[in-house]
Amino acid sequence: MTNQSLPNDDHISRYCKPSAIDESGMPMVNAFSLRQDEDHLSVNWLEYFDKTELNAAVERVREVFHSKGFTLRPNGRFAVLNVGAAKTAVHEAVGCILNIDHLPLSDDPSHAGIFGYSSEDLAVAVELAALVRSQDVHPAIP
Amino acid sequence: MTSETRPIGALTESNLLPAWQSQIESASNHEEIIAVLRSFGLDETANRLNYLRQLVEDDPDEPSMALESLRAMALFLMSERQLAAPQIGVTPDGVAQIEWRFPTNGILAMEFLSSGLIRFAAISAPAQRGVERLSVNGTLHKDAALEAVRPFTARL
Repeated sequence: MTNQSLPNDDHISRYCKPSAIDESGMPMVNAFSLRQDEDHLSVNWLEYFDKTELNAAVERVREVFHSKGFTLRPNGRFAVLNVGAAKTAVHEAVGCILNIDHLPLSDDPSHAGIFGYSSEDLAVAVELAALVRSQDVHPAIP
Repeated sequence: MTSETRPIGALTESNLLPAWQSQIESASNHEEIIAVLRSFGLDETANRLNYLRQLVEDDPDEPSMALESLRAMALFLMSERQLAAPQIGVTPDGVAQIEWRFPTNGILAMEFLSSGLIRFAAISAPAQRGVERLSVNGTLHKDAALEAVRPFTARL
């Protein structure tokens, strides 16, 4: 079964641990870095929740994290990205074709993944981090 | 200070290396490296590194910075003190990472690999269709990496 590719107009959120948050509260590049053994970056698909406001969708993501036993930290943040902007930025700058696919989990039905990081993974992470503006950053614990 | 006491950062006659270099190179753990950075005036850096270590103690999911990566970063920061203080983080694999953001929302990021190489990537602004911008990335030894990112460090 092929995973559903997310629409370009939709949005994803990435939970950024405190170690990936700088002293001004912005996500750092390492928030978008993969582990060596990972083939995708875990994110959540915000339009999955049928909310008209991104804030409301992020709140649903907080609830999902809580229900699956993941402890959100006070200094953590959610960074929100537009799917199409992320794919276009990385393709034009790095040449990688990112796929952002819905990867529902039993305890996290909005789970999605960013695939297509290359050997230039730091360059990909820089492109994604640069797209995040202060208004795209939401506290992990409001 | 007596007339016989050397400033802590003085060059030693035996090898003409700054004291901080030999102290960082011979440090056997994270605390020693952080203490050297603090003793040479990089208090903000030392505070951030202690914060990152505290996060690991509080949350086992947080990545722990590899000692050799920390050492490489500390040597870099001490030798390049003319640069503005960077933000410091750690990758999911425990690699020390520093980054600077520019007013244009561009970013310069460096990762200190345990091999001694520096992986770097920089952009002068976020991608925008039809807008030209500077970008560079690669993995090189320190001097070559610094040369590659000079158009960006010149803005710091």
